[in-house]
Amino acid sequence: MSHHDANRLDRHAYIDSVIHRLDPRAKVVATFVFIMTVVSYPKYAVAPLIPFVFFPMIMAIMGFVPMGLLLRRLLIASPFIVFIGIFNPLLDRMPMFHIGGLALSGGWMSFISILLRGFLCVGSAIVLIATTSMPKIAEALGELRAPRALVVQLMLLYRYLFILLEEASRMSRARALRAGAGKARIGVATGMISTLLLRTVDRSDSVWQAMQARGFDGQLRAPRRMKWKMKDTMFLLIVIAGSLALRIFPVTRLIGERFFP
Amino acid sequence: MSGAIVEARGLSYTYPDGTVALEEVSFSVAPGEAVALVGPSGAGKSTLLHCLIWLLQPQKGEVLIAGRQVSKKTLKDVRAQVGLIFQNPDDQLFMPTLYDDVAFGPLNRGIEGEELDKRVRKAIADRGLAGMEDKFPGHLSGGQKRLASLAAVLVLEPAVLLLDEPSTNLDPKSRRQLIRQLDALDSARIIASHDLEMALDLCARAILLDRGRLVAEGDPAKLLADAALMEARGLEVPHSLQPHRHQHVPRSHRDG
Repeated sequence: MSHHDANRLDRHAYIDSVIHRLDPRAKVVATFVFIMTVVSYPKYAVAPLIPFVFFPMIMAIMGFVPMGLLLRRLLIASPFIVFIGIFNPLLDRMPMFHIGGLALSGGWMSFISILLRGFLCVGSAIVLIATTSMPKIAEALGELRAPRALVVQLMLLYRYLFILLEEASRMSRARALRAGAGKARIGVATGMISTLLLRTVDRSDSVWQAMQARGFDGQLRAPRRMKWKMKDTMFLLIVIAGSLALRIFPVTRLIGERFFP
Repeated sequence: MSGAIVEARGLSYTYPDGTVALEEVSFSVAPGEAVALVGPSGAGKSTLLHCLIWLLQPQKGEVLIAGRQVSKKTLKDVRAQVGLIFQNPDDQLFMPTLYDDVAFGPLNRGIEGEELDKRVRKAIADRGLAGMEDKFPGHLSGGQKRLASLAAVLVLEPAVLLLDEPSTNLDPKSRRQLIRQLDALDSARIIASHDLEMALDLCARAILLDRGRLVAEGDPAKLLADAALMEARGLEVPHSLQPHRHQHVPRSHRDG
């Protein structure tokens, strides 16, 4: 993730839209329900997962999340998702599905299912961050009685991530000015990474001192300003009902039978 | 000094790598007084500010804030009376919105509800930042960040304000605005700075540090005008105190 991308995603969380105006707690619970529903499908499920694409898509469109940014972030996560299922086609070779003369094995089906689930879960999480902001998510988790240690860790991780990215960006500029824009040699890159770590630790120390100087005692307190409105209840009900309906009723099969008898 | 709001007695601090940052530094500050802490880079100015509220615990000496000795037992109460403005405002602003950042200190002191809201909005408005409450502090300009960090500390109404290079990276207008704001405060102020003109504008007393030692103390107009003393410490007499001020002539227009 580049500093520029992180900043863009972060800045986007502070714009105004219908989705941005929803209570962060509603968005956190809705995303959680969505992810739980998606991962609850059997391992070979592919077609039933397709309608779930609409949730992150609609949220992204209504929240004005730039598609390029969303796709770039998904691309960053893709190696991890691919790695989880990459060996399935080798381990499970039993034919399960036929398209014309081509037989798809169970391994390929489960691999595609993992890819789809991974992109749906990561995509919905990215849209949540882009329309809510990480600090508000942490605050919502606190309000939802998530473990305090988790909330503080999340908040500090977010803050320190930006420190790390800022330092990395400065160092990279300084290197490029003196060594051209080409890639750094391994020896130089290793030295830069260790310097980056030391500089980040120094800056993290300063942030920690600033927090201590203002009475921080390990508990992150935020002013209680979240107000639950009727639209939040409606939004949550629609997401829960939609997710359950898709999970219970075989929508894609019914559509298939209706149009391709 | 009796009735001092800050009293440092024989403070010494050595960093874990063996660098001696402070050696037997003693001074006191009266309530409402503004004191400039000047000296070359590495003189120990920032370390001294951090030692006063035990962000760095001095190995020798003691600090008294409003007559109470700073110790592990009294640290929470002492820090409630002292506000520290860091050199880099980005280090100080860590919450998602300006409002949340200014509210961070009062919430940690148990202030909530309407009282919190009133205090936070006033602190923000007093610094000229009204209307920016919901902005992410990281997106403010340099001058606004400095004022925001000031708001985040002044909301606690500290009796003592410690400022570490407050005018660094400010444009002339923001610097002037900051000086006006600092001048209007009732708190005692200890201002560590290389900006000697600002020290002259704001402070009734200056303390000169060099290599961790307090080497001189007195009226800034006299102390900072002492060319021999200043040059020996790697400093320059501020422009406004130089006796023969000529109109600036660019090098390219000078004879020879």
